[in-house]
Amino acid sequence: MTLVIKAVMLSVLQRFKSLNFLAAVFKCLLLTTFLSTMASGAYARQQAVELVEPAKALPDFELQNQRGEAFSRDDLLNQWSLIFLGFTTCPDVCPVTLMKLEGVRAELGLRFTPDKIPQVVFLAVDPARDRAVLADYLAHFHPSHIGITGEVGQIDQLVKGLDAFYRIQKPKPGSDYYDVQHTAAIALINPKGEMVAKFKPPFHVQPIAQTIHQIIRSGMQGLGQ
Amino acid sequence: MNNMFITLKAFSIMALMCFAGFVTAKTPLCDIQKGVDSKQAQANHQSQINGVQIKRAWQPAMPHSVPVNAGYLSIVNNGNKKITLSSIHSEQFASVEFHRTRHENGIASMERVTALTVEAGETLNLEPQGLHLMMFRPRTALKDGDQYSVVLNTDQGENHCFVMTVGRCDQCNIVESEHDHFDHHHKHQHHQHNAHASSKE
Repeated sequence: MTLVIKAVMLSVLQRFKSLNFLAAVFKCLLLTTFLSTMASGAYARQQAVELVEPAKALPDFELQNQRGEAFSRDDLLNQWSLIFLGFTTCPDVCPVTLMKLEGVRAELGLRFTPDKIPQVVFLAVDPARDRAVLADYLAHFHPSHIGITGEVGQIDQLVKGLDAFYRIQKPKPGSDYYDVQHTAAIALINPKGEMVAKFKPPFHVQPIAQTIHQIIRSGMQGLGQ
Repeated sequence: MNNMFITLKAFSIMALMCFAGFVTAKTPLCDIQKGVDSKQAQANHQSQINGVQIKRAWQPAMPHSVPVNAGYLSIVNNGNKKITLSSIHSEQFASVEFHRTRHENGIASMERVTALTVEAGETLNLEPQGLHLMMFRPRTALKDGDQYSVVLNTDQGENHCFVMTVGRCDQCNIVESEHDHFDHHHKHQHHQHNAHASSKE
């Protein structure tokens, strides 16, 4: 948290140099207040959220959702999204994260109208195993969760845009099971298709919902993205 | 004569009921594990052996199309000796292993752990995104609320049978609430470190 506050102080100093002096001071004051409110929470000490500043536009990509329909960057526009990278044969990290994301959506449902609740997008990076079972897998967690996969090149395009990483491992001798190393962060994408924050594990429903709430609210007040 | 018919009828009804009972009776949990004496397993399930207790054993409900499931539990060692756990099995799965999810530079990866040790007086938590059971190829589809037995064998020759419950994330919340306080968090980390685990590549 102190690092984030330091970063804010730096951006304050940079903005002092700019011409829009007063506007910048006002903006920074509000942003600092917002961040210190976050820092004062009981959970905040443990919460790992990294604000992406400036917001990073995601590249174009052509993937398919769990029903085989095209899914591109356009499907991320005009609504908030939470993208999580994983694979369907992932027994530990992915199921619990998907369940917690549903918890986050439920929390946000108490604070926002449905149009502002982020859609959950599960980016499945192991199409060889994921494609056939993706619909079954996602339906099991929540009917509204979206699962996307497709050509490796297109997956890699989006993975790069998310500053993420994955590597498909070789099976161990005598086993047909292989692991996939992957970034475990959850990316928050704004309605312009830009990444604005990354949440890092361990994931706790309440603080994540609280942070998303503040980011969406600050966006509504003309702050942030 | 009439009496005989009535007796025969009663016998056949009783026999039918017995047969029906035999067919429909569910095998009691923690009673049929391979290599485990059923009486011993039953006793183990109800009491603790040498102060070792298995708590909060659960797994998230997964679609049957997924060939690997993760399982979570807490192993409480209230005894006065260190225990080493090196084998685990369940009739519900083709095989069960101990695995650990590692987070390095934000990247999650999994590694197999051959044995777990729990020091006397310590609790080892197997929980999401850390140490967990890796259960391969479920024999039947499992749904929310289902239960099955698992047997954990110690190198000291004890067999701990416990009941695993299929659930959602209610149990993650218990762990989550324990993380609310920094002290607990550290305590928990300490416990994790007590799990001496050797990796197998």
